[in-house]
Amino acid sequence: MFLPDDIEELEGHLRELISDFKKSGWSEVDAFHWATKKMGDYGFVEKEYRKVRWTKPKRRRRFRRSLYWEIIMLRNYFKTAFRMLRKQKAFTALNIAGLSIGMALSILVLLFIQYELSFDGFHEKADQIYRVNRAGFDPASGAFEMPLTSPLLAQDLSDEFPEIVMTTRIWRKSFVKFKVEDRLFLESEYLYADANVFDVFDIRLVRGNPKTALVNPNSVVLTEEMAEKYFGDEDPIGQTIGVGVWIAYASTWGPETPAEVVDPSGDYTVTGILEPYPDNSHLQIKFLLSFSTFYWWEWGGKNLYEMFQIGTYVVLPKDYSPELLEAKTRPMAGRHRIEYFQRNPELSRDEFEKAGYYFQYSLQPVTDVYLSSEVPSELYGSGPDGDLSIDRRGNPKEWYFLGLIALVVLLISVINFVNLTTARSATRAREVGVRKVVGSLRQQLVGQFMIESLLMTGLALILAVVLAQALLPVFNRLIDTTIPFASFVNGWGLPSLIALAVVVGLVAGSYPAIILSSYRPVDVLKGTQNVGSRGAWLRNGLVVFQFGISIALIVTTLVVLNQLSYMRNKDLGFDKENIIVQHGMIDEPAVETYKQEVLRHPNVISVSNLFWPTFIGDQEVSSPVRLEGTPVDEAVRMQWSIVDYDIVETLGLDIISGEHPSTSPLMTPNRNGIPAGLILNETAVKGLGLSNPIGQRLLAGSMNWPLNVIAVIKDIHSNTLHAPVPPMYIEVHPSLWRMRTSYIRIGGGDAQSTLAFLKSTAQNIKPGVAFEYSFLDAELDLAYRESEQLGRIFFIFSLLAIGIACLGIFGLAAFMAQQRTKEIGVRKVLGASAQNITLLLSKDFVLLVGIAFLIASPLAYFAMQRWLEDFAYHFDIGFGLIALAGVAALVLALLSVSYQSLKASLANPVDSIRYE
Amino acid sequence: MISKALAGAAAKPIILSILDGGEAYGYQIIKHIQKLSGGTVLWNDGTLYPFLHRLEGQGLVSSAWRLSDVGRRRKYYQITKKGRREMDRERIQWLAVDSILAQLWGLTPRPA
Repeated sequence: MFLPDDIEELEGHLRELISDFKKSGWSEVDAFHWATKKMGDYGFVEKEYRKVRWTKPKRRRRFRRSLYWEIIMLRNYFKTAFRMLRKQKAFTALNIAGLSIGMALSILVLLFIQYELSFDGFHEKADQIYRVNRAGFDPASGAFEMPLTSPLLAQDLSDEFPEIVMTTRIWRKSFVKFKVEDRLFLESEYLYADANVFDVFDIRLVRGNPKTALVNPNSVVLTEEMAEKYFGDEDPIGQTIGVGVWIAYASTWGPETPAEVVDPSGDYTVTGILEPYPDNSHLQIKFLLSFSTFYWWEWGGKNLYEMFQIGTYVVLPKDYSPELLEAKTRPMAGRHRIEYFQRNPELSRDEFEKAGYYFQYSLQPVTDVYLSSEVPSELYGSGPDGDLSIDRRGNPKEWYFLGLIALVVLLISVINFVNLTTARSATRAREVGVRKVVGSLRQQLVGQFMIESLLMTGLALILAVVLAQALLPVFNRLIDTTIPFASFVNGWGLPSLIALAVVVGLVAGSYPAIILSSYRPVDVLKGTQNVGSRGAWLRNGLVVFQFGISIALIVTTLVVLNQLSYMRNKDLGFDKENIIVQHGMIDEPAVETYKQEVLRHPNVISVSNLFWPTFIGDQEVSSPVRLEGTPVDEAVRMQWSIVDYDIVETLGLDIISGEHPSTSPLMTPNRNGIPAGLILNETAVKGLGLSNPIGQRLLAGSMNWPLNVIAVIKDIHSNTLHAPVPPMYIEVHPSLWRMRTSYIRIGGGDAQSTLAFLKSTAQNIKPGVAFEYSFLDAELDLAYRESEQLGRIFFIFSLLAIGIACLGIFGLAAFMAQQRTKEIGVRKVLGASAQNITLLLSKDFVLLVGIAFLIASPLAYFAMQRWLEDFAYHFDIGFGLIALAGVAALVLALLSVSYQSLKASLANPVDSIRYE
Repeated sequence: MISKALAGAAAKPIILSILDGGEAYGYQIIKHIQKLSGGTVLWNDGTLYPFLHRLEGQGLVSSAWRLSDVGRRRKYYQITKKGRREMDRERIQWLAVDSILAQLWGLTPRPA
């Protein structure tokens, strides 16, 4: 603290004091004693000096000076770091590759999560738009929350609550035939929307005026892509599209819906062309038809308050609380409930309300629609045709899952990086010693190791970004999305990844930086410091961890793949092979003609027509069913379908009691006078608690027309194996008045020529009809697409994880072989064989993999056991599968190590001993 | 005896005023103060120097080593221009305090 000047100055002062005291007659000793006392306590004086010396400007100057030197050194750090990386090319490549793969996967998953969170956020009024849901309780089906409301709700809301900025309605419909001149097009989805839909959502027009495009009835706007499909090069504006068959109410009023609902609204005029609508919205917009059409069209006097088919959206003022509006709508919901029952005399309101029936309105932010899982999307008590509200729905479970697995792979790659970096750094002890001898400070060594490690993570990050961009199309295909790469650069993905690279760099660099820089140069240079063993426990621990995760991933993959094959091969209770599913609507009287025509082909064994597009497969249609004379709340919700007799032969259904419909005396005319009967499955019989089901009269859906149970079939797996077999009834008729789908069982003959025959037959009977078909087994496999996706992702991720882990131990083995070069040489000279050496080097890794297996396999086993519980039907994880995972990990580990071991064991011992 | 705090607060004007009368070295300054105060202001001699260095750091005084007549090197301190300005500021403040106290204690007539 004291500068030489200070000392001199203080000394001078002291001397003056002493000489003054002496002058007044004190002895030399006393004078000295009192003079020092007068100078003050040493510590106190030093403190005063310190205060003065460490004033800010000086401190700043000092800092600036050291910064200057650091920057000069920085250049040097980089230079040496680059040199090191270049010198050990293989190591560097291994290290960077592993880390960048982990990072690239994280980028992809980050992109995915970011994309999922971005849904509907692009609307200018995104934070003000809410969808109105109906939430309540239905005695037949329990609590529900539906995005479907009455078409009158929007008007009622804006009349009663002036604070609502605007309301708009969207009626989402599916499976329609559009007609342009003589050509028919099948579209899977289209929307009716109020004219102000452009003000609520950010839906833009390339051509046409958004203020007027959907004002007039029978207007349609469509995307450029669709315009081209429909009109080719012609100018689409002003053209006419005929909107084909649809049946809004068929589900509500049952199959006796009169044919006049066909072509209700006629031709639509194109008034505008839509900009391509972003993918990340819960709405998919290709066609918008004017909602106003329906005021021109006769609603048929039907009760619109019970027509829960319309999506109602409200725009609230900024910062207006949706809860407040929800509370305010309570009385309105009550009125609407009453309306519902008053206009619906077939249902007893008392009966329903006593059973607890009610609903009220709830508001859901539009940005939550995609990710919410509470609001079911299936149509409530309605058919799979006509009106659908299959929201595009996100699956948060999927991204937890993807996130987790990406994290795991990233962790493995980070561990890898740390491990390899620390292992390699041990070989640099001597370098550290020399650096210290020539005057390197510890902090400079730390700086140098950090820079080296940061440089590598930086390079890995760059590589990862490139890799991710290259892999994105594959990833998109894998999980069925269209995520653009640009969103990564815009969002928080890149900053977080840079942060990650820095953290990984610091963590990986810190171990060698701290440990190595602490070595005493004397020990290192004398060779008494055992550099290899330090940190060995850490490295071993990390290897165990890596392999533990890899083994867990292998187990997971094997379980998923096994479950998939189990599902594909399980006996479903019907014969799914060789059945052509032909889609296309045909009405009476051609239905029967068509069937008879088709049956004439020698390769066609049997044909059954379906009223709905699907019978088997992902069918979510259900209706309450009860015994005649029992109260509503005793109804059992059942899946149902309407088919003709021949379904029994066509699908090979197994009738366990009752008679085949063609011979059953229990068939009775339904409301329209068509003979009808019900076939139940075993679960339905159990659900209704029937001991003697045959001949019982059941009321199904909202029809008040009982039908007899004519037969019971063995349970069939008509849904995926996730869920237990649901109760199910099949309404059978000798023949149908309308079909949307035919199941055609064919023999072993030429399928292609049979298909050609089917096509020509269909088009002869109904000119212009689109011929669309699939095979039932393929359709069923489609239901497992999500699980298959999962399986594929698992497969790829675990492959990568274990690949990275293998890279890691490959590097570690190289390091260890190098460390033990001399030992190996000596052993060989003393007569050790190549096998001995290989064994020596491999055994440590075998042990580590063994430990990893013991820890990871039970954990993976229990985790996957829980996953399997999601499936009502699943295979059992045996010990064999777990053992297989262990063996696989071991084999892979040995393969990775063997190269290095072999190299070491085959090396000439003379070279290895001379090594030092 | 003047309290430590007051002595500390008065150090700057006192030292600047002494140096205003001509350059001086540390021991000289201490002696001067002792004489003026009659021993009521007592500092640890050792703390004078860091204080002088602080004033130097603030640019209020400057210093130079010179050989004394007794043959020892001594560091002489001079007041700078900035130091003089600072001394004037201090003087106004101290006189204000002095005048307030003098009036309160009836040492001088209060202004009407």
